[in-house]
Amino acid sequence: MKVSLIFVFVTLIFLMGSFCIYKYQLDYPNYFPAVKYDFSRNPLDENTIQLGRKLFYDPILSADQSISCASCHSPFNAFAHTDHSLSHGIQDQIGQRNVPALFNLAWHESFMWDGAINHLDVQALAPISHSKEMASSIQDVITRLDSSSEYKELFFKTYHDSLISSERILKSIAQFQLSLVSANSRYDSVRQGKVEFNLQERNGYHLFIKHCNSCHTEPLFTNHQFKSNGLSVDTTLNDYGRWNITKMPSDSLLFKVPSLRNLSYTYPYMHDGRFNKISQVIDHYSKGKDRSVNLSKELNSPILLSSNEKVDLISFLLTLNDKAFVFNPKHQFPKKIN
Amino acid sequence: MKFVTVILFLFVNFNIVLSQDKTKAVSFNASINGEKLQLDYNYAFGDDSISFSNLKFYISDFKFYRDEEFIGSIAKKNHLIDFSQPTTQYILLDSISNLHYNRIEFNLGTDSLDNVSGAMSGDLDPIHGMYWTWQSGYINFKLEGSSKVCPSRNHEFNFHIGGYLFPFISMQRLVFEVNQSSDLSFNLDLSKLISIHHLQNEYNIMSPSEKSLLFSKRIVDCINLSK
Repeated sequence: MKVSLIFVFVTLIFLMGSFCIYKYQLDYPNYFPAVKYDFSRNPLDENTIQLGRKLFYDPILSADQSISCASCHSPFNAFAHTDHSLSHGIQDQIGQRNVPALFNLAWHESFMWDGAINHLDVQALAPISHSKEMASSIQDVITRLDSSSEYKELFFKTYHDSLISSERILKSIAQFQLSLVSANSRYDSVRQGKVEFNLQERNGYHLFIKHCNSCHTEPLFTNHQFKSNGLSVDTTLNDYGRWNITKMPSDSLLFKVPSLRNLSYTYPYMHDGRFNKISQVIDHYSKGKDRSVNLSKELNSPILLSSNEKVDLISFLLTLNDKAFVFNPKHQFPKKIN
Repeated sequence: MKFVTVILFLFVNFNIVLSQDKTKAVSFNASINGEKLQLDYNYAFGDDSISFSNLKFYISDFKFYRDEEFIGSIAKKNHLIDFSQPTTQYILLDSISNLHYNRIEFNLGTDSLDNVSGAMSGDLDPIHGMYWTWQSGYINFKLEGSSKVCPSRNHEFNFHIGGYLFPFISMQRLVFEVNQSSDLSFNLDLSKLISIHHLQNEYNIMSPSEKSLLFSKRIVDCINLSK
């Protein structure tokens, strides 16, 4: 009897200890809105995040084990990619779209430039299966992981049994991506009262609020909506964005509004990566818009900026770079998981 | 003590056998030219032939009624019927079989909630090849095969019918009046679903669209309660 009680007591202490050590709290500032991701269905946990991190960086996900998630979503580019205007996948194939940056995903309700994916947990199925990205299937990924004793151990450590299932793979990758919170830019320091904008940045901020904030809404710098910003169709791609999903004429050429955080790390810009410099983007909004189809009403009036104002606006936009996020060792390639 | 355990064991098992005998099942079959479907078998089709390599669909949210009164449902919500795995063609009714019902309802397909709830396991696991990967959402009904009347590569046809967003919601509700003694065996008449005219003009439907919506309604017209 006495032995049983001691055993129960020790087990309880152990379980409480595990809970305290491994439960993970998403850390973000109080001026961020409420998260959209339903954590009750996939509670964050340090072991699961680390398993997801390992999978994110492992080319085992691709058919010939050459391409990992990080091949396109490089940590040094705020998990975007700067080498190509369009994504570069298996056997040097080139895709249809510019690689989007990955951060603050817990605040998103849809994913991809056209919102094709409605939940972060299932997003990884798209690149895993795409013939120009990883050219594999979730079933084949399970088979490859199943033959790895290292992964068997990691799944056991995370889920307390070594079953490798699609749900576990997808949810662990999602957990790592959810942990990618960017909230340590100079802008954030200003919001937190730690520093002040200089004159140029302050002027830029006021211009930003006047001309850009309705779509690139602070503090996440996106309203997560689909908009046409007046880009003409690239006839080599014929990508009609949101229309591909809904088939609604009013959705033709609408693409998801990207966040402006980490702009310096995430060039080229736009869904097809047609602009390499922030100044080209600002020039597009000043004069380059195609008014023929579904142009966002926010852009009905031209954004007329003087040369000085453009410089001021860029100065502000550079305050959105989050170096601490980009170089955070917790997000880098996992040399070893303990 | 040992003797009591043995008696108890025999008693429990005897009861399980008895209750299994009483358990009814809903079954789903498919036919072509009046014959029971066999995958990868050549059937006469006009002047040519047709074969089916894959037939899978989701059945969900089974409900039982007596007149207008709801009296029960099957606890498991989603069932993948996969004709390459015959055991999936039967859904056990367990506790329902003792209820007095005269109407049953179920969905052909998965509902919108399951389409927006992220990664799932069991019958909704994406390993079953019934989840679109290039966009979110389940394929509610998948029929693949070949016939020389198809002007496509290798004469293949692919009907991947799904869509959970307006205006292309392809999940369909089916309602059948039944009596307690009815054998709940449903048949999908592929001869009615697939005509030469259709296959000549329409052999690939693989995304939510007006065509997939119409096809989903056509499937409903081809499912009958076997007499």
